[in-house]
Amino acid sequence: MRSKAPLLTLFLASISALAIVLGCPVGVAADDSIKELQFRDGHFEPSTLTISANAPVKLRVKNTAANPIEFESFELNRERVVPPGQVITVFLPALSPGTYHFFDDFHRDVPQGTLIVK
Amino acid sequence: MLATFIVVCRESLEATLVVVILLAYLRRIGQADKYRYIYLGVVAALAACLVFARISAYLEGLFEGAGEEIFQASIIALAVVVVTTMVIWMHRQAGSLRASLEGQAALAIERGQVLSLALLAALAVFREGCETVLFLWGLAMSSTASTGEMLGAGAAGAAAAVVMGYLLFLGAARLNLKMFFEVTAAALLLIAAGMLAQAANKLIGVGVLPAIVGQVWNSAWLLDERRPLGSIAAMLLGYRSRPSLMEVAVYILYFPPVLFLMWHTSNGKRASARMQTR
Repeated sequence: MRSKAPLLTLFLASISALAIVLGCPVGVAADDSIKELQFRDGHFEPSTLTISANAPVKLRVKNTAANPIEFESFELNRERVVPPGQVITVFLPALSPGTYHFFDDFHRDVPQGTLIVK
Repeated sequence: MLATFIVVCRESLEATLVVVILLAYLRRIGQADKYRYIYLGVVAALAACLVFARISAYLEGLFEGAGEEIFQASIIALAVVVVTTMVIWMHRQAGSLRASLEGQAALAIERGQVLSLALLAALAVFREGCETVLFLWGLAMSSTASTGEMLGAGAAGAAAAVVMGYLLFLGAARLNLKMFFEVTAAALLLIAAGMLAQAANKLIGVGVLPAIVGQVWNSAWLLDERRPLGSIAAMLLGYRSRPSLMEVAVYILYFPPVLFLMWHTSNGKRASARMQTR
């Protein structure tokens, strides 16, 4: 009979690793910088946001339009629906310097917005 | 889209196989006049699945904002658990499906309970149908495929499964089912791991989970999810060009426990005693 011990060890190790990873405290403190973004009349306002690198940010996206929008960004790896008249908070981890684009996935003709990290 | 096709094709084939085994058994014992009870069961189960799908659509509409993200992440995780359990169970169970089904069908006929035949078919179809609804629901929330694309791919997957089932029933084809189930099992586990990472991404976005490291790598220059090849990798492997460490960790850590459960005690020690429909 082959020993199952290595397999069992691997099993337990990966379960514990998962528990540790999922259990780590959320790295976004309450006093993180908050950036406001509005969607109104078919465009994002401001269309360019600037934040500093290596610090988490909460992005508050308000939709003042009459229709739902979907705040989406491939670069930021985020996708969120914002119902009309509502505000959502998108948590962003510390980002490396660069330019990140976002757009409204429900209205692709809306000009893209830009997040500059420096 | 390809993911939808694989999911629907596999689930439909599982259900179709049960129906085919029952029909073939009735034909063999000269009770072909009882086919209609099987069809009755199939139609009733499909109707029940549509109701389940409708309820799930209604439920999702109740949530907004961060609550919606957390609800979606929970549904995706639930879908992953259900499908993973199904794959593990099928892997351990392989082989005893036909004998146990025929035994149950024989019992139903012997006792004159023809409606039990309908029930046998209905239970199989309903279970696979609910699994399909749940998994597609999770898939729809964790990918960017449009409803139209998913409907098309799903219809194609179901059609492919029914054709395979019909050919088996006619005896016209000897399909390598073991191979089919092994390949689709591997595909389903990869899709499920990707969905789990996507659930983690949603929770990171609302601040429930930490990203740990915001961006472990950036391979967008090599393989971009917006391009055809990258989008296939995203659907089938859960590929992300800019993942956080949390997503990578969840993806990788999904496999060892699953593979352990698949291979551990898979030596048929306890498979034979079960009276299940597959």
